[in-house]
Amino acid sequence: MTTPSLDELPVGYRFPKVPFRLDVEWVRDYLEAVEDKATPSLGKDAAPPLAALVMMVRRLLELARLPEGSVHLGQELQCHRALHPGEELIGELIITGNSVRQSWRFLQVDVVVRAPQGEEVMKARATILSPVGQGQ
Amino acid sequence: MIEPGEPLPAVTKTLDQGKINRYAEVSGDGNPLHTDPEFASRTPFGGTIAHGLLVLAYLSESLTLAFGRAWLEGGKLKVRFRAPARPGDTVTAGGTVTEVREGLARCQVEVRNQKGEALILGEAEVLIPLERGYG
Repeated sequence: MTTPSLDELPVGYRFPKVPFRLDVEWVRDYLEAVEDKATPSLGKDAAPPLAALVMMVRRLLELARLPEGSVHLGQELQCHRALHPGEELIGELIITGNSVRQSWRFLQVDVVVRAPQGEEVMKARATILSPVGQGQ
Repeated sequence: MIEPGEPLPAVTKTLDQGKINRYAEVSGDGNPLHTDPEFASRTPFGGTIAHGLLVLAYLSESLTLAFGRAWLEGGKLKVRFRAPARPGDTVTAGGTVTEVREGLARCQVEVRNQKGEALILGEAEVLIPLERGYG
């Protein structure tokens, strides 16, 4: 099956739920890559909320192609509780916006991260801008 | 006691292509706009740019320094990416507490480059840790 381009997906499209593990080694690599010295100082059980968001973006890029020339325009994020390295989580990705204004397409993707029992632990919304006519 | 006007700790980082490549590897976002100077030179950006979420992580670090676990446990953030950060840029993340009400601190947050240009602008909300006090 061909991976769809994100701009081909309609508003309301839900990707299959994504179970993932906030792997301890991956969190360490992430913290090193972003040079975050503050989070490790809080203890080994601390993970920044952006780590889970980045993990979900990674999964999104496996499930859909980003139109060529896309840029990240905006980001919203809300944490309901702390995330912990090693934790098993389930992510949901939903297309909540796909519209064209002038020569630009505005894509909006909502991310919801839940604990296996269903408790919502984090949600986020990314707004992506891509030039119309590219990567189609 | 956290009060309006209090600055958030400044977090300053200097970007280079190696750091951007490292982040691309960890995040799985290998968009050539970030990692391929030859490709990126042919785009309107004229060269590679850092991932928005890499630069945003510097802001998250500032909020962690300011609020500790409270940021991780119940923080809220809404930002716009206004301009790209490029290899060689020195960027500073931080902001200011704008309002404190009923234990909730509202902050104006930003990331600026060495020229003072705003790369990220937005707002954050954090429930203030009791040990830091609120009123």
